[in-house]
Amino acid sequence: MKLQRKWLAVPGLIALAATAAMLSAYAGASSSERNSPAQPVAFPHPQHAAGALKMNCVYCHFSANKSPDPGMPAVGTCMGCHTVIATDKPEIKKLAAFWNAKQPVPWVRIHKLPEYVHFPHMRHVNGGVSCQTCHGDVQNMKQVSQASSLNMGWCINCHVGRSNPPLKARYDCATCHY
Amino acid sequence: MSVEETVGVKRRDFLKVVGAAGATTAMIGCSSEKVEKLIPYLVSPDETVPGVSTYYATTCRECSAACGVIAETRDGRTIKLEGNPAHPLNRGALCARGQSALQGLYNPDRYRGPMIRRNGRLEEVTWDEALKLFVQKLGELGGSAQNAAFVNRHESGSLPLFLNEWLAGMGIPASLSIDPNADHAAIAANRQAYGVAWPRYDFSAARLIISVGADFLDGWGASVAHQLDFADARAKLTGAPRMVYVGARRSLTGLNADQWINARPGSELSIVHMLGGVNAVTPEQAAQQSGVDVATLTALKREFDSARPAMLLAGGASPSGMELCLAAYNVNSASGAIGTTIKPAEAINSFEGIDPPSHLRVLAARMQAGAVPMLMVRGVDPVYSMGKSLGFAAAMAKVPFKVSFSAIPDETTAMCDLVLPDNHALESWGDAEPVRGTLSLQQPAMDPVFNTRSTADVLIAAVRATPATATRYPLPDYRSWLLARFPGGASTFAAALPRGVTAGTTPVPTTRTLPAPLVMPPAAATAGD
Repeated sequence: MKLQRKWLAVPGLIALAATAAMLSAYAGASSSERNSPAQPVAFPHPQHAAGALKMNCVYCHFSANKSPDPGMPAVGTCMGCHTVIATDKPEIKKLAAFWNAKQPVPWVRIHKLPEYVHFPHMRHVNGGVSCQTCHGDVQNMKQVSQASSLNMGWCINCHVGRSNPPLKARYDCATCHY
Repeated sequence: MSVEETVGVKRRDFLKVVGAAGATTAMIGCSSEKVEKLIPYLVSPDETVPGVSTYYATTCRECSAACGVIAETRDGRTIKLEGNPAHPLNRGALCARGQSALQGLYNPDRYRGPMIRRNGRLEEVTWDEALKLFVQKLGELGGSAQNAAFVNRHESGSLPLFLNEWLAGMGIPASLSIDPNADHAAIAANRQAYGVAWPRYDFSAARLIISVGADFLDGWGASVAHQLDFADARAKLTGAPRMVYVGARRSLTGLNADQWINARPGSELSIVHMLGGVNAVTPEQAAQQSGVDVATLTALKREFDSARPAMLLAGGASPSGMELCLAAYNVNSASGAIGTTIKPAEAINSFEGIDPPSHLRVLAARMQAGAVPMLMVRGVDPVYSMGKSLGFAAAMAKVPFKVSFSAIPDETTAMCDLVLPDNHALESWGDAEPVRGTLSLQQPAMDPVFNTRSTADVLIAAVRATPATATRYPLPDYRSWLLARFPGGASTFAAALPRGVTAGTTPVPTTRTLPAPLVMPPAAATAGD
């Protein structure tokens, strides 16, 4: 009897660990929140999206309102202005070097959902969710960092209508999961 | 030491295992994610939204039939083909072979770029080098150009016209239009009997369909059109036709038949003769030849005699292919099927202009005699498809300079001196005329995967590279050539492009005059086999 009880403890502990891992994932303990890697070109969002320019996010992220993919601006979009503006700045020189070498800028990805989740940007943008709701005040970030956990509990929070202002969306599994 | 302690897990061991497992889980499961890159475009292509598909109406070139397809392209890559509902031939359907065109498009064996044979091996070169050699060899032809040959994959539309015009400008005879998969016996018989290569088979009009070896639902002629018409016929609530399949192999058509009669290969002609009462062939005689019992054949004959309108199809591999097809024509003619169930007036145009295999045999004989100074091959593989006994490979080896426009390595290209790989059909401009009076347009659904060029563009570039002939083609590419000649001009073309089909016609290729064979080919050159 004593021997059997000892062995029961192993699956019991494993089950406990699995439950803890799932709970922590749901709550956001394992997310890459506040992840802020250095980028190959130190693109300053405040310079463009705040201050005097106040460019709309969709100017560069051109498909956020019409595609699941928000769209990364082509290097050509940057060079549209930067062939004449601030060409002496060191970061613009880096950008121009990419352009002249006909190489795209290898931006480091920060926001990433797991492969088993689909997140259509256009549904959210067109549904009245501002970019900042999920991405934080990017227009004030010198270096972009992940503002939210992007975990399931965090998503569900809005989908059940606990956002401000309250928006409601379907939250059955197949809404987000394949 | 108690027994329990020796048998059970020791406390320390247990902790070690749990600790190691936990550490591994932490290492794998909770490490910061792999650093991913977001690679933007250098310059964003027009009309492209990442993650959203664009649909292009174009033409399938997997067989001669030229069905219409809608190609779905996402992020610059074609990912799915479907039939074009506006197309008169396939009406939104697409066969397995058409579906698999993408496998050819992304085939990893495709040539990456042009190649020249040096020291016995094909070496990758630039297009400039390859074109230079091509132009040089064309220039060296001089008066012997009239003995050079161009073997092309059969297709309807403007390309054969363009090609023959180009060849005429070079002094080279018109191209051979080859389709190794066509039922040449049936086409030759149709041409003799109806004056068209492929009549329309109106299955809905028939009460009884008998197919003798003609696998019309799977690869015999314009299968997709046949399948749709047959499905319509069988869906009729009253008067749907009965179908009997006679043949040794239970093909897809045999599987869909109400009755499959397993006749011995080679006995097809006797059964057709029996049905028509030709040569006084009785069911007993046909039964003896075919190995089918007399009662079955007697019943078949009785059924055929009483069912009107009826349709008798014959074809497929048979030693007496053309004779069989003509015999079937005579039976159909006597039973009043011509014009009621078999409609030459609504012919499928795609198969017009296919050269019979005998023309390739004539070419092989001329090559064998050393009379051909240059051979150009595009889209077909005669060394493989002609059969070894005809000696195409040995004959081809006697040609001093051989050019291939093939996109993938094959037996013919393996013997060539210069490879100028063609674009895939989904990367090319063009048109086809599947039904007389309807043009099916072909447009690129994506940029070329590899460093390939459309053959028509290469031919134009070769002419423009020579100052003496440069004025012959003032337009830079085949697309411009096509638009300039298109009925209604570029605006009509642009307006028709989203739909993929438009009214219009291309002139029928004239019957070619072949140079006389220097040596008679080994096998008798009948048009039928």
